[in-house]
Amino acid sequence: MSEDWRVPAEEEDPLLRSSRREMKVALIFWAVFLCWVVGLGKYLAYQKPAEGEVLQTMMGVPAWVFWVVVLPWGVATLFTIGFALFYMKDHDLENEGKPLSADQDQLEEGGI
Amino acid sequence: METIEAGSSSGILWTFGAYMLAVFFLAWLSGRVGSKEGFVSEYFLGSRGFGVWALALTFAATSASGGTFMGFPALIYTHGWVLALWIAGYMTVPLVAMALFGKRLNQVARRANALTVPEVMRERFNNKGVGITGTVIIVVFLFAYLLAQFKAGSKILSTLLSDIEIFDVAVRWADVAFDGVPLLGSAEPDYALCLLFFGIAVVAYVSYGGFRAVVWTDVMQGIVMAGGVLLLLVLALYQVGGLKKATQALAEMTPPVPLTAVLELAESSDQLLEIPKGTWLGSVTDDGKKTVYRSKTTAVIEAGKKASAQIEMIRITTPGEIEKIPLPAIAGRVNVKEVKSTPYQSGAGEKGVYTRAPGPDFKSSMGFLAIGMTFSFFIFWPFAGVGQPSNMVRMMIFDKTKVLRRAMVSVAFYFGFIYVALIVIFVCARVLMPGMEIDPDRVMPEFSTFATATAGVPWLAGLVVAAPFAAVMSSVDSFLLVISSALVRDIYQRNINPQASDRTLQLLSWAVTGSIGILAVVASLNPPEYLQDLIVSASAGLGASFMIPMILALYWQRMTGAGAIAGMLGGAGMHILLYVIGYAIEGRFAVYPLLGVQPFFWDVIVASVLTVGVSLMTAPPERALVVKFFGKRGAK
Repeated sequence: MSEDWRVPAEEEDPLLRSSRREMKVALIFWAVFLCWVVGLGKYLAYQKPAEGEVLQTMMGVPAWVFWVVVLPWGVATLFTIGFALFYMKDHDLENEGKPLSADQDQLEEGGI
Repeated sequence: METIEAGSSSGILWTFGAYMLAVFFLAWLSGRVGSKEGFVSEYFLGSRGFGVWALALTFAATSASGGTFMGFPALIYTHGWVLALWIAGYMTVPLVAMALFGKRLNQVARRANALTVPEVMRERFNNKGVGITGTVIIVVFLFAYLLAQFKAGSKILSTLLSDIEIFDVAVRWADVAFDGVPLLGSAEPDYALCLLFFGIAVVAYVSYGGFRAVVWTDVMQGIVMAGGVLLLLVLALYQVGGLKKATQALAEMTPPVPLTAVLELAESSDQLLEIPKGTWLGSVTDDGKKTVYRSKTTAVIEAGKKASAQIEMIRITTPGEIEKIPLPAIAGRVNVKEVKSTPYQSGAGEKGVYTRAPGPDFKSSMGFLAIGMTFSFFIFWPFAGVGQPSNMVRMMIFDKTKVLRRAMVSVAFYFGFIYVALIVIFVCARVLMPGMEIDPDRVMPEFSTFATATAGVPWLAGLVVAAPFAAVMSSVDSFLLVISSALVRDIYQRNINPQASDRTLQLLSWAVTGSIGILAVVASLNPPEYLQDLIVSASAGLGASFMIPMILALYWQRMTGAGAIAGMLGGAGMHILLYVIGYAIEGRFAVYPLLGVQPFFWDVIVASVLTVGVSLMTAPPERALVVKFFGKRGAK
């Protein structure tokens, strides 16, 4: 099948390429925290204490809440800040609304 | 007639009145300073030039709806610390939602000169069918969502204003005035009055100020929410004596026993006796054994009779709570005769159920949050949120990526604070204010009143209760605008009259916003049963319909218009199908949890398979279209 329709990777818009990279990082970030919260949660949060066992707390919350929710939430927030301030790339958006080329003019006039 | 009731503070009314005035002032101001670059662009997108705080707070305030401040606290109160696990997916929302869509959706919307989500989809594929499919899905699901929020807003308002003299006078007037009026007459007068006020207020400021008013009021509402939560957090922690004490007390608690009972008098009275919902009753035996009940419904003992009809109650089972609850004088006259008790299916009589997963549950023997549901909700919160058109629109309103990056940081702090603080507050509330299982949806306004009154500052309850009201209002205004933009921009301007003048579009936008508001008020007068379930269903349906088609539309060159339509319809169709199966099995509005996980998971799988499959089966897109959205600026 002809691939004439495709825009080769090297001709793709820089914002698209950086967004795609950032999307991959976001999905990996989500998957890591899914494993942390659900994986560790299964072992710590669902345990029935033995008879007479006293509830363990950390910073006033049940210990499992600290390891499974509070700590990852703090780490996720720090990661989000780092991602936003140091990893995410800036691009010019203000000029994006203008027509690009003759092809687009044709597209707008005739439709496809 | 003899009645037992509690008082309230009219200071609440003044604080709340000041809040409403501020909302109207901001809406008026936004209408005055709005850009003159064209009505439609200004009205539906505020001319795309908002800053960091506007983006951060409008995103956060729109995401936080009535459910955040009414339903979520009710769940924490009822099930305990396990709600931390239930909401944990929110830790990923700022990064996932904003990194997945933020820059790229903004770019595509600008290249398409699109103002709405269906318009982005339509222009991306140059296909009218895609736009119309998106519009229909938005209107259907979002209208259901809107109804639930109208109901929540009116309930909060009526709770807030109850027992305030001027409101009681208005209610008595409404009772007479609405009598015999179709629809209005059959609704509770206090609820109908609040619904009318809420509907008129929201429609007025959205119609006048458009998107700019929505964003500006969202900013104020976001600040009110954070302020209310902070205030309540301080009061709750101080009054309970610290978080550790609250957790340890919670670990000793056992769920109450729901039951039906008859209230009996030792001797009949010559007066009708009304015992309102929420009254504490019980007895102490000679050997000092105390039993404590709370009524879930109002009981009436007719004059000359000795017993009421059967009413619903709960029996408190935690010894520490039983000792603490003082029985009112009426308890000495009334004997509670249990008819039938229905203990919790999971956690009944077990200490520690409120401090571990899966949490106690009245209906399910699996507990509140089985591990499969924990997994499901970690998928649901970030990705259903990403797929909401009202959130997507917010990714189109900034003109510098720096604004997005800084907003992401602000939203991360905001969500972290709000959700963690709400869990702490209502864990403390569970310890400080027993017996709210009779009506857990009222725990937020009730605890606000309780905590501020205990601290000697009852007038502050108005500010605290303004927080959930602000959450409802900031969601309703956004939904209202998304629906009206879908109809005016996507249906009328793009398909019926592309040459419509600004004046025509302005009049039409006002008319449509007003009409949707009126329809929502009328439909909410007698809201359908299972409305809370409808909220979850509608938001999941929207997320399932839009998330995958939009992600692929932004990042996958090979996607076609047919694939987009198939994906949107597939996500929506699978969602509805699981509810139809649930209805067929249970005979009520319920979802079928295939393999024990949330329907959203299956909706997304179907939407993904159909979007990719149908795109690959149809002819590749035109090169000019792919270049327009994927090529460098100026590429051919």
